[in-house]
Amino acid sequence: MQIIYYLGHILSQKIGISTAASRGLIKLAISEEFGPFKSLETLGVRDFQKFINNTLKKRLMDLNINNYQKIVDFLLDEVLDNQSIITMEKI
Amino acid sequence: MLFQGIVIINYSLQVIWIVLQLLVAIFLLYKMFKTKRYNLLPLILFFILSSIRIVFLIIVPSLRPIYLVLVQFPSIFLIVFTKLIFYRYKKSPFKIFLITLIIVRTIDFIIRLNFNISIPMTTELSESNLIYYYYILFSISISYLLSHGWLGFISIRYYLSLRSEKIAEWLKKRYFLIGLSSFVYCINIFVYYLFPYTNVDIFDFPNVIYSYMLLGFTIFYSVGMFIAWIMPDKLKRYFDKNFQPIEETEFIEEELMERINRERKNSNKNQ
Repeated sequence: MQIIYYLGHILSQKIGISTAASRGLIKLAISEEFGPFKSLETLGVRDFQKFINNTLKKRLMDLNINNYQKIVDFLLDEVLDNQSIITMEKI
Repeated sequence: MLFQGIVIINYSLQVIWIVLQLLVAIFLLYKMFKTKRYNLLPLILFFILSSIRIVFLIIVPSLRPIYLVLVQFPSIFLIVFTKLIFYRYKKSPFKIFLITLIIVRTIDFIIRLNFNISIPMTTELSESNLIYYYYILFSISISYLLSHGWLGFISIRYYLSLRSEKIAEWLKKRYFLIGLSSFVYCINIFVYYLFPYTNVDIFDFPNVIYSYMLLGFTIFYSVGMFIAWIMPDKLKRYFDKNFQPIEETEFIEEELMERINRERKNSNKNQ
Protein backbone atom coordinates (compact mmCIF):
# COMPACT_ATOMS: atom_id res chain seq x y z
CA MET A 1 0.00 0.00 0.00
CA GLN A 2 1.40 3.35 -1.09
CA ILE A 3 0.21 5.22 2.01
CA ILE A 4 2.13 2.73 4.20
CA TYR A 5 5.25 3.22 2.05
CA TYR A 6 4.80 6.94 2.50
CA LEU A 7 4.31 6.84 6.28
CA GLY A 8 7.06 4.21 6.62
CA HIS A 9 9.49 6.51 4.84
CA ILE A 10 8.67 9.38 7.22
CA LEU A 11 8.87 7.19 10.32
CA SER A 12 12.21 5.73 9.24
CA GLN A 13 13.68 9.23 8.98
CA LYS A 14 12.22 10.30 12.32
CA ILE A 15 13.52 7.38 14.39
CA GLY A 16 16.62 6.44 12.39
CA ILE A 17 15.71 2.95 11.18
CA SER A 18 15.40 1.38 7.72
CA THR A 19 12.20 1.86 5.73
CA ALA A 20 11.61 -1.93 5.74
CA ALA A 21 11.70 -1.98 9.55
CA SER A 22 9.48 1.10 9.90
CA ARG A 23 6.90 -0.41 7.53
CA GLY A 24 7.07 -3.59 9.60
CA LEU A 25 6.43 -1.53 12.74
CA ILE A 26 3.43 0.17 11.12
CA LYS A 27 1.95 -3.16 9.98
CA LEU A 28 2.51 -4.63 13.44
CA ALA A 29 0.70 -1.66 15.01
CA ILE A 30 -2.19 -2.05 12.53
CA SER A 31 -2.46 -5.76 13.30
CA GLU A 32 -2.44 -5.05 17.05
CA GLU A 33 -5.14 -2.40 16.68
CA PHE A 34 -7.55 -4.20 14.38
CA GLY A 35 -6.60 -7.86 14.68
CA PRO A 36 -4.86 -10.04 12.08
CA PHE A 37 -7.90 -10.44 9.83
CA LYS A 38 -8.47 -6.79 8.94
CA SER A 39 -7.24 -6.21 5.40
CA LEU A 40 -4.93 -3.25 4.88
CA GLU A 41 -6.95 -2.43 1.76
CA THR A 42 -10.03 -1.56 3.77
CA LEU A 43 -8.36 0.97 6.09
CA GLY A 44 -9.74 4.50 6.00
CA VAL A 45 -8.43 7.81 7.35
CA ARG A 46 -10.07 7.26 10.75
CA ASP A 47 -8.45 3.80 11.02
CA PHE A 48 -5.03 5.30 10.33
CA GLN A 49 -5.59 7.98 12.97
CA LYS A 50 -6.71 5.34 15.46
CA PHE A 51 -3.74 3.00 15.22
CA ILE A 52 -1.20 5.85 15.12
CA ASN A 53 -2.73 7.30 18.30
CA ASN A 54 -2.92 3.96 20.10
CA THR A 55 -0.75 0.99 19.17
CA LEU A 56 1.94 2.78 17.19
CA LYS A 57 2.33 5.37 19.93
CA LYS A 58 2.67 2.57 22.52
CA ARG A 59 5.30 0.85 20.37
CA LEU A 60 7.31 4.08 20.09
CA MET A 61 7.12 4.51 23.88
CA ASP A 62 8.31 0.91 24.37
CA LEU A 63 11.25 1.67 22.10
CA ASN A 64 12.17 4.58 24.44
CA ILE A 65 11.84 7.21 21.75
CA ASN A 66 11.99 10.55 23.56
CA ASN A 67 9.93 12.70 21.24
CA TYR A 68 7.31 10.03 20.48
CA GLN A 69 4.39 12.46 20.89
CA LYS A 70 5.87 14.86 18.32
CA ILE A 71 6.35 11.97 15.88
CA VAL A 72 2.77 10.76 16.47
CA ASP A 73 1.40 14.28 15.88
CA PHE A 74 3.50 14.62 12.73
CA LEU A 75 2.24 11.28 11.37
CA LEU A 76 -1.36 12.26 12.15
CA ASP A 77 -0.89 15.51 10.22
CA GLU A 78 0.66 13.61 7.31
CA VAL A 79 -2.26 11.16 7.18
CA LEU A 80 -4.75 14.03 7.08
CA ASP A 81 -2.72 15.96 4.50
CA ASN A 82 -2.28 12.95 2.24
CA GLN A 83 -5.62 11.23 2.78
CA SER A 84 -6.33 11.33 -0.96
CA ILE A 85 -3.65 8.64 -1.53
CA ILE A 86 -5.83 6.13 0.36
CA THR A 87 -8.60 6.43 -2.26
CA MET A 88 -6.49 7.28 -5.31
CA GLU A 89 -4.38 4.14 -5.05
CA LYS A 90 -7.44 1.86 -4.82
CA ILE A 91 -8.70 2.69 -8.29
CA MET B 1 -22.54 19.40 -48.19
CA LEU B 2 -19.97 21.29 -46.12
CA PHE B 3 -22.65 22.17 -43.59
CA GLN B 4 -23.72 18.54 -43.30
CA GLY B 5 -20.09 17.49 -42.81
CA ILE B 6 -19.67 20.06 -40.02
CA VAL B 7 -22.83 18.84 -38.31
CA ILE B 8 -21.85 15.17 -38.58
CA ILE B 9 -18.32 15.79 -37.25
CA ASN B 10 -19.77 17.87 -34.40
CA TYR B 11 -22.22 15.15 -33.37
CA SER B 12 -19.56 12.44 -33.71
CA LEU B 13 -17.22 14.36 -31.40
CA GLN B 14 -20.07 14.88 -28.94
CA VAL B 15 -20.67 11.11 -28.90
CA ILE B 16 -16.95 10.48 -28.23
CA TRP B 17 -16.77 12.60 -25.09
CA ILE B 18 -20.13 11.41 -23.80
CA VAL B 19 -19.05 7.77 -24.18
CA LEU B 20 -15.66 8.47 -22.56
CA GLN B 21 -17.26 10.12 -19.52
CA LEU B 22 -19.90 7.40 -19.20
CA LEU B 23 -17.19 4.73 -19.32
CA VAL B 24 -15.31 6.51 -16.51
CA ALA B 25 -18.54 6.66 -14.48
CA ILE B 26 -19.26 2.93 -14.98
CA PHE B 27 -15.67 2.01 -14.13
CA LEU B 28 -15.69 4.13 -10.96
CA LEU B 29 -19.06 2.67 -9.96
CA TYR B 30 -17.61 -0.84 -10.24
CA LYS B 31 -14.52 0.20 -8.24
CA MET B 32 -16.64 1.94 -5.62
CA PHE B 33 -18.57 -1.25 -4.80
CA LYS B 34 -15.47 -3.43 -5.06
CA THR B 35 -13.32 -1.30 -2.73
CA LYS B 36 -16.17 0.15 -0.64
CA ARG B 37 -14.81 3.66 -1.25
CA TYR B 38 -18.19 5.40 -1.25
CA ASN B 39 -16.50 8.81 -1.33
CA LEU B 40 -16.26 8.23 -5.11
CA LEU B 41 -20.04 8.59 -5.49
CA PRO B 42 -20.08 12.39 -6.10
CA LEU B 43 -17.51 11.97 -8.91
CA ILE B 44 -19.58 9.18 -10.48
CA LEU B 45 -22.70 11.37 -10.35
CA PHE B 46 -20.71 14.25 -11.84
CA PHE B 47 -19.67 12.18 -14.88
CA ILE B 48 -23.13 10.67 -15.33
CA LEU B 49 -24.95 14.01 -15.15
CA SER B 50 -22.36 15.87 -17.26
CA SER B 51 -22.69 13.36 -20.06
CA ILE B 52 -26.36 12.41 -20.07
CA ARG B 53 -27.85 15.89 -19.65
CA ILE B 54 -27.13 16.76 -23.31
CA VAL B 55 -28.54 13.40 -24.48
CA PHE B 56 -31.58 14.08 -22.32
CA LEU B 57 -32.12 17.47 -23.98
CA ILE B 58 -31.84 16.01 -27.50
CA ILE B 59 -34.09 12.99 -26.85
CA VAL B 60 -36.78 14.75 -24.78
CA PRO B 61 -36.57 18.50 -25.53
CA SER B 62 -40.05 19.00 -24.07
CA LEU B 63 -38.64 18.26 -20.61
CA ARG B 64 -36.33 21.28 -20.73
CA PRO B 65 -37.05 22.29 -17.08
CA ILE B 66 -35.69 18.91 -15.93
CA TYR B 67 -32.65 19.42 -18.16
CA LEU B 68 -32.15 22.83 -16.53
CA VAL B 69 -32.23 21.20 -13.09
CA LEU B 70 -29.66 18.59 -14.20
CA VAL B 71 -27.34 21.33 -15.50
CA GLN B 72 -27.03 22.82 -12.02
CA PHE B 73 -25.65 19.79 -10.22
CA PRO B 74 -22.36 18.55 -11.80
CA SER B 75 -20.21 21.38 -10.41
CA ILE B 76 -21.74 20.88 -6.95
CA PHE B 77 -20.98 17.13 -7.06
CA LEU B 78 -17.42 17.87 -8.11
CA ILE B 79 -16.65 20.13 -5.14
CA VAL B 80 -18.23 17.55 -2.78
CA PHE B 81 -15.86 14.95 -4.29
CA THR B 82 -12.84 17.26 -3.81
CA LYS B 83 -13.84 17.80 -0.19
CA LEU B 84 -14.31 14.06 0.53
CA ILE B 85 -11.07 12.97 -1.11
CA PHE B 86 -8.67 15.73 -0.08
CA TYR B 87 -10.20 17.52 2.90
CA ARG B 88 -12.27 15.10 4.97
CA TYR B 89 -11.84 15.96 8.69
CA LYS B 90 -9.76 18.94 7.60
CA LYS B 91 -10.31 22.67 7.19
CA SER B 92 -11.03 23.83 3.65
CA PRO B 93 -12.95 26.52 1.73
CA PHE B 94 -15.58 23.86 0.91
CA LYS B 95 -18.51 25.44 2.78
CA ILE B 96 -17.92 28.86 1.19
CA PHE B 97 -17.63 27.26 -2.27
CA LEU B 98 -20.74 25.14 -1.75
CA ILE B 99 -22.92 28.02 -0.51
CA THR B 100 -21.66 30.26 -3.35
CA LEU B 101 -22.41 27.60 -5.96
CA ILE B 102 -25.87 26.84 -4.58
CA ILE B 103 -26.82 30.54 -4.66
CA VAL B 104 -25.29 31.18 -8.09
CA ARG B 105 -26.79 28.04 -9.64
CA THR B 106 -30.26 28.66 -8.18
CA ILE B 107 -30.36 32.12 -9.77
CA ASP B 108 -28.95 30.55 -12.96
CA PHE B 109 -31.85 28.06 -13.03
CA ILE B 110 -34.48 30.77 -12.54
CA ILE B 111 -33.00 32.96 -15.28
CA ARG B 112 -32.61 30.13 -17.80
CA LEU B 113 -36.13 28.95 -17.13
CA ASN B 114 -37.81 32.36 -17.41
CA PHE B 115 -35.77 34.03 -20.14
CA ASN B 116 -34.77 30.99 -22.20
CA ILE B 117 -31.10 31.94 -22.10
CA SER B 118 -28.31 29.61 -23.14
CA ILE B 119 -24.80 30.10 -24.43
CA PRO B 120 -24.76 30.16 -27.39
CA MET B 121 -28.26 31.61 -27.65
CA THR B 122 -30.88 29.54 -29.50
CA THR B 123 -33.55 32.27 -29.62
CA GLU B 124 -33.44 36.06 -30.15
CA LEU B 125 -32.40 37.99 -27.06
CA SER B 126 -33.87 41.43 -26.43
CA GLU B 127 -31.48 44.16 -25.27
CA SER B 128 -33.44 44.56 -22.04
CA ASN B 129 -32.56 40.96 -21.09
CA LEU B 130 -28.86 41.32 -21.83
CA ILE B 131 -28.01 41.54 -18.13
CA TYR B 132 -29.36 38.00 -17.68
CA TYR B 133 -27.16 36.77 -20.50
CA TYR B 134 -24.13 38.21 -18.69
CA TYR B 135 -25.27 36.64 -15.45
CA ILE B 136 -25.26 33.18 -17.11
CA LEU B 137 -21.70 33.89 -18.32
CA PHE B 138 -20.77 34.80 -14.74
CA SER B 139 -22.49 31.66 -13.42
CA ILE B 140 -20.59 29.41 -15.85
CA SER B 141 -17.28 31.09 -14.95
CA ILE B 142 -17.80 30.75 -11.19
CA SER B 143 -18.91 27.12 -11.55
CA TYR B 144 -15.84 26.15 -13.58
CA LEU B 145 -13.45 28.03 -11.31
CA LEU B 146 -14.80 26.62 -8.04
CA SER B 147 -15.24 23.03 -9.23
CA HIS B 148 -12.65 22.22 -11.94
CA GLY B 149 -10.31 25.01 -10.87
CA TRP B 150 -10.24 23.82 -7.26
CA LEU B 151 -9.75 20.13 -8.16
CA GLY B 152 -7.08 21.09 -10.72
CA PHE B 153 -5.19 23.28 -8.26
CA ILE B 154 -5.25 20.68 -5.46
CA SER B 155 -4.24 17.81 -7.76
CA ILE B 156 -1.27 19.69 -9.20
CA ARG B 157 -0.22 20.78 -5.69
CA TYR B 158 -0.26 17.13 -4.54
CA TYR B 159 1.59 16.02 -7.64
CA LEU B 160 4.34 18.56 -6.91
CA SER B 161 4.54 17.66 -3.21
CA LEU B 162 4.64 13.89 -3.87
CA ARG B 163 6.97 14.09 -6.88
CA SER B 164 10.10 13.31 -4.87
CA GLU B 165 8.44 10.79 -2.53
CA LYS B 166 9.09 7.06 -2.86
CA ILE B 167 5.64 6.04 -4.01
CA ALA B 168 4.55 4.53 -7.33
CA GLU B 169 5.00 6.82 -10.34
CA TRP B 170 1.61 5.92 -11.83
CA LEU B 171 -0.07 7.32 -8.74
CA LYS B 172 1.80 10.62 -9.10
CA LYS B 173 0.83 10.67 -12.78
CA ARG B 174 -2.83 10.19 -11.80
CA TYR B 175 -2.67 13.41 -9.75
CA PHE B 176 -0.92 15.17 -12.63
CA LEU B 177 -3.44 14.07 -15.27
CA ILE B 178 -6.43 15.03 -13.12
CA GLY B 179 -4.83 18.42 -12.42
CA LEU B 180 -3.86 19.11 -16.03
CA SER B 181 -7.23 18.04 -17.47
CA SER B 182 -9.14 20.12 -14.93
CA PHE B 183 -6.99 23.21 -15.55
CA VAL B 184 -7.32 22.94 -19.32
CA TYR B 185 -11.07 22.45 -18.99
CA CYS B 186 -11.19 25.56 -16.82
CA ILE B 187 -9.54 27.61 -19.58
CA ASN B 188 -12.53 27.02 -21.85
CA ILE B 189 -14.47 29.60 -19.82
CA PHE B 190 -13.09 32.27 -22.17
CA VAL B 191 -14.71 30.60 -25.21
CA TYR B 192 -18.18 31.23 -23.75
CA TYR B 193 -17.38 34.97 -23.77
CA LEU B 194 -16.63 34.85 -27.50
CA PHE B 195 -20.11 33.75 -28.62
CA PRO B 196 -22.05 36.76 -29.95
CA TYR B 197 -25.40 36.89 -28.18
CA THR B 198 -27.07 38.05 -31.41
CA ASN B 199 -26.21 34.86 -33.22
CA VAL B 200 -28.78 32.14 -32.60
CA ASP B 201 -27.58 29.26 -34.76
CA ILE B 202 -24.78 27.12 -33.38
CA PHE B 203 -23.62 26.22 -36.90
CA ASP B 204 -23.46 29.85 -38.12
CA PHE B 205 -20.12 31.63 -38.37
CA PRO B 206 -18.42 32.34 -35.92
CA ASN B 207 -20.44 30.18 -33.51
CA VAL B 208 -19.37 27.03 -35.31
CA ILE B 209 -15.69 27.81 -34.63
CA TYR B 210 -16.30 28.50 -30.96
CA SER B 211 -18.39 25.35 -30.67
CA TYR B 212 -15.52 23.31 -32.05
CA MET B 213 -13.15 25.03 -29.60
CA LEU B 214 -15.44 24.03 -26.71
CA LEU B 215 -15.59 20.50 -28.08
CA GLY B 216 -11.79 20.39 -28.28
CA PHE B 217 -11.46 21.36 -24.61
CA THR B 218 -14.17 18.88 -23.58
CA ILE B 219 -12.55 16.02 -25.49
CA PHE B 220 -9.12 16.83 -24.03
CA TYR B 221 -10.70 16.79 -20.55
CA SER B 222 -12.58 13.54 -21.17
CA VAL B 223 -9.52 11.76 -22.57
CA GLY B 224 -7.37 13.04 -19.67
CA MET B 225 -9.89 11.84 -17.10
CA PHE B 226 -10.31 8.52 -18.93
CA ILE B 227 -6.55 7.85 -18.80
CA ALA B 228 -6.23 9.12 -15.21
CA TRP B 229 -8.99 6.95 -13.76
CA ILE B 230 -9.05 3.91 -16.07
CA MET B 231 -5.30 3.57 -16.18
CA PRO B 232 -4.51 0.18 -17.75
CA ASP B 233 -1.87 -1.99 -16.04
CA LYS B 234 0.36 -1.70 -19.09
CA LEU B 235 0.43 2.10 -18.74
CA LYS B 236 1.02 1.80 -14.98
CA ARG B 237 4.02 -0.46 -15.67
CA TYR B 238 5.30 2.05 -18.26
CA PHE B 239 5.08 4.93 -15.76
CA ASP B 240 6.79 2.76 -13.14
CA LYS B 241 9.65 1.66 -15.42
CA ASN B 242 12.21 3.62 -13.35
CA PHE B 243 10.54 2.95 -10.01
CA GLN B 244 12.10 0.21 -7.91
CA PRO B 245 9.21 -1.60 -6.19
CA ILE B 246 9.93 -2.07 -2.50
CA GLU B 247 10.50 -5.68 -1.51
CA GLU B 248 8.32 -6.50 1.46
CA THR B 249 10.00 -8.44 4.27
CA GLU B 250 7.72 -10.27 6.65
CA PHE B 251 8.97 -10.10 10.24
CA ILE B 252 7.87 -11.92 13.36
CA GLU B 253 7.43 -9.50 16.25
CA GLU B 254 10.58 -10.37 18.26
CA GLU B 255 12.73 -10.34 15.14
CA LEU B 256 11.34 -6.94 14.12
CA MET B 257 11.85 -5.32 17.54
CA GLU B 258 15.36 -6.74 17.72
CA ARG B 259 16.14 -5.33 14.29
CA ILE B 260 14.73 -1.90 15.16
CA ASN B 261 16.78 -1.73 18.38
CA ARG B 262 19.91 -2.76 16.48
CA GLU B 263 19.33 -0.21 13.72
CA ARG B 264 18.67 2.55 16.25
CA LYS B 265 21.90 1.73 18.11
CA ASN B 266 23.87 1.84 14.85
CA SER B 267 22.16 5.09 13.88
CA ASN B 268 23.02 6.68 17.28
CA LYS B 269 26.65 5.50 16.97
CA ASN B 270 26.97 7.09 13.54
CA GLN B 271 25.65 10.47 14.75
